[in-house]
Amino acid sequence: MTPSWPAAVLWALLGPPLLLGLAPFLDGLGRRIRARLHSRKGPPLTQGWLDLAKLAGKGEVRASADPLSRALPWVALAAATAAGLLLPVAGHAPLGFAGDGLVLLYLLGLSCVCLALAGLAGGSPYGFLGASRELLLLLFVEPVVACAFFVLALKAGTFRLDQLVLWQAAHGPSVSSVLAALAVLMALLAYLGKLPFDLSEAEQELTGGVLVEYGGRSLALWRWALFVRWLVVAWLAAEVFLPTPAPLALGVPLAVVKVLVVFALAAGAETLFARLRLDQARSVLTQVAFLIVFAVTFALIGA
Amino acid sequence: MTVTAAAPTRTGEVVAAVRAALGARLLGADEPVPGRLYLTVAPEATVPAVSALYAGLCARYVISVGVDRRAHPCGGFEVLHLFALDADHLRVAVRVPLPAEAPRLPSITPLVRGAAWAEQENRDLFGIEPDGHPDPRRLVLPDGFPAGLHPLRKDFPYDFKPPEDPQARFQPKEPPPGSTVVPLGPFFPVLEEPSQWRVFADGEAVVGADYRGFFSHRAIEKLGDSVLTYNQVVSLAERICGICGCVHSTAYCQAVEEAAGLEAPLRARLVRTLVLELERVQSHLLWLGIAGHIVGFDWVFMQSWKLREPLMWLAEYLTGSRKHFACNVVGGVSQDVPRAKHARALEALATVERETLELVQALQGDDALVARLKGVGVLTPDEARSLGVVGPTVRASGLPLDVRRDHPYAAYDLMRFDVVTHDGCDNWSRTLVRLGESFESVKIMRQCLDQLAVLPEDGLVAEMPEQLPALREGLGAVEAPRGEVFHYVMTGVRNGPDRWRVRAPSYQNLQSVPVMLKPGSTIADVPITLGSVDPCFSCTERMEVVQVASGERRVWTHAELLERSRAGRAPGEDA
Repeated sequence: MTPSWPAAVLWALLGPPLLLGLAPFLDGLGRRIRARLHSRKGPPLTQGWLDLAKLAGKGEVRASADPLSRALPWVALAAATAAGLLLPVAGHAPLGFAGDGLVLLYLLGLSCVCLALAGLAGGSPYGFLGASRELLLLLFVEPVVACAFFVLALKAGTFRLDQLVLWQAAHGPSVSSVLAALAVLMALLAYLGKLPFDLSEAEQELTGGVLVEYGGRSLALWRWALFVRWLVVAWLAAEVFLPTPAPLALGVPLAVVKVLVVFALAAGAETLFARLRLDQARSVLTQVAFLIVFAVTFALIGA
Repeated sequence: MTVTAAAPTRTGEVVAAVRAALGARLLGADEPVPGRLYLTVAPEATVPAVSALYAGLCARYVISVGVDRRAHPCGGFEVLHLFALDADHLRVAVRVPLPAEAPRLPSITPLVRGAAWAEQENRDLFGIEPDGHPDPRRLVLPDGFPAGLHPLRKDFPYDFKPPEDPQARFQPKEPPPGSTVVPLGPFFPVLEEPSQWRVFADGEAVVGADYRGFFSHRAIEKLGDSVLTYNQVVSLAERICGICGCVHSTAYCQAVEEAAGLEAPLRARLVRTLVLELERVQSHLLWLGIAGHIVGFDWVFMQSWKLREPLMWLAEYLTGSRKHFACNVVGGVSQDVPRAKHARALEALATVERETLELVQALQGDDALVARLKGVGVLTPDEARSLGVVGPTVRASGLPLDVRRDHPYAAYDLMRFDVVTHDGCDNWSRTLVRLGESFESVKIMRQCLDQLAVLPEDGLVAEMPEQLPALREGLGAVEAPRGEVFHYVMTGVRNGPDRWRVRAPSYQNLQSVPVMLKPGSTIADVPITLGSVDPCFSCTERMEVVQVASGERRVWTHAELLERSRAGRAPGEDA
């Protein structure tokens, strides 16, 4: 489908404020769900916005005078938001182009790499360890998601996100696409950076890890980038790997519900586990990698 | 206090064994009360005497106590190395008299690793030099404290604050080549208490650790053995710990009772047993929550603290306070647990027992949690013995050591219970021991209530004489949630102790943490391994505010902190 210019311009203008404005809701939602499973009342659903406002109003002590480290949270936030602009809604991606799926992956990866660099920039041993954990987990998770894309792309014959979705809607699920979706869901907690995979920020082990040296407005930016990243990843899983054919008018609200359900399930699942050690996280993700290898094999033989 | 007497032949055997090793250097053997043996040895015979007990008779090291006897007849300094022969219900002290000038004696640390801190402490606080001690650094005194001053000496006034050298710095241990230092503390991130671990790491792998604690030493012993009277010390002892204060006041009272030849009435001993077990279960549930939090499993944290609440309610219902029960006095207890309160107490116990069982079953089936704990933080039985660790930490290494059974006190001689042990030697075993013995505690509490129900409701205190004879010694020990709490009391000429030595279980258990961090451990294993001994650092009520712009510093007072923390509450809400 060729994107229409008015829709593209409209989405380019409205998309960023929408993504940035709505993403903090996920924080309040996730914390409320966690709290209920803990037998607690929990914070209000607006807590994500309140936290950002509070942090933004605070002073800051900078661990590094390096301008790069000041730019990093902006880059991470921009990368995550730009990734969000490429996401399809009900098979429509106003800013879609050939290979946009790969660009989306790189943009998401870029926000993680920024986080790792931020950990290194502070010069704290916690930051160093957090950065090495972040990059190691990225090395395990990103290939899984990339291979899952590859499976869909093999079937549909394109890397364009909207066409991947439309192709799946037209042809229904196959063995390989189901396996790919399963692998993405299994790696979802790691891709979201949630427990039991939140090793890079493990409060109890690394007192905040990569973000240990950040506070005030910078920390607010990092948190915000994380919220947007959550939204994008949950959206990606819900719309690209679990597509539901529907006309646009129904598709948009349906997509919102699906994203919230996917994120809520992740937030609930998060309360069920103890944090994994690095070697344990690695072996869990290796099993997911096997699954995705099967999916690719099936896709190659046409199943 | 009930002291189950050691068989006289066993006492004789111990004396004979030490005499065989020492000959004329054994200066005396004294058994003031059954089950307590004091062997006086010449300083140069310290190591052979300790070796005869520790290596020859497999005695367990408890603590070393320094004493300043210079003000008393034929006085100098004295060091008591205390040991326990648990199977024989016997405690043995090796008493080493030392001269008033330049006291020194051979270190026993090369033989008994667990004596390291006690010997460093005697060097800091009394100036008694342990020759051949492996660590020349200070343990307790601040870095800038003037050399040559020793605060626990009797000629050091309790309120004297010598000027400190602001330039003095602690000498941290050098990390092994190729490793980096990952600091945990000085304000420990998970336990939120003052304790510093410098973990030496090669990437994620742990290659060593150095501990520094005693940041907020409160000089409690000095206050107790110079200013307060026997019964005032009880309140201070209860405040040594915020979680298990009652074990300290009980151990202290028992030590004074032993020195005074008092025996608390049965009803008082049953009340003590009841509140001690109540304290154990709430402490274990508190620990479980923190352990869950350390491994990022906050569901466990919230659920175990939720089901701990009925116990806290019960504590308040029975003693008037959720914590710091304040029911002990020398000679007995000040508060009864009358029959009228038994029904609701039994109800609360049933709730806690049922809900804890459900939680325990859920945890035992949790593979991810077990994988984080099993095989991590291994302490072999031999290491456990040489470090003198106690409580769940030693019982998880398969050694069935329990003061309640080995040296019965309060009313434990009348109770039926199992000593829970596991032999995995790891963090998971320590978890299982704590969970298992919580159920035993509920059983003991029920037996206490049964017996209290049929006893007449009077006779809570044995009358203490106006004046206790001076220089009598008493040893009090209680099986606290974290292990054996040990108190040594020597009576003074005033109406208060002349020397009071407290050894909390964490004093020994913390020394084992660097040993538990075996090769193959990672950074992620450090907090939970430290947490697995359920360490108890002294807490501090102190906050310093630094204005970055002006560099101005101001320490908040207790009253200000209290006002600030209550500012958000409606008037009267905290009543």
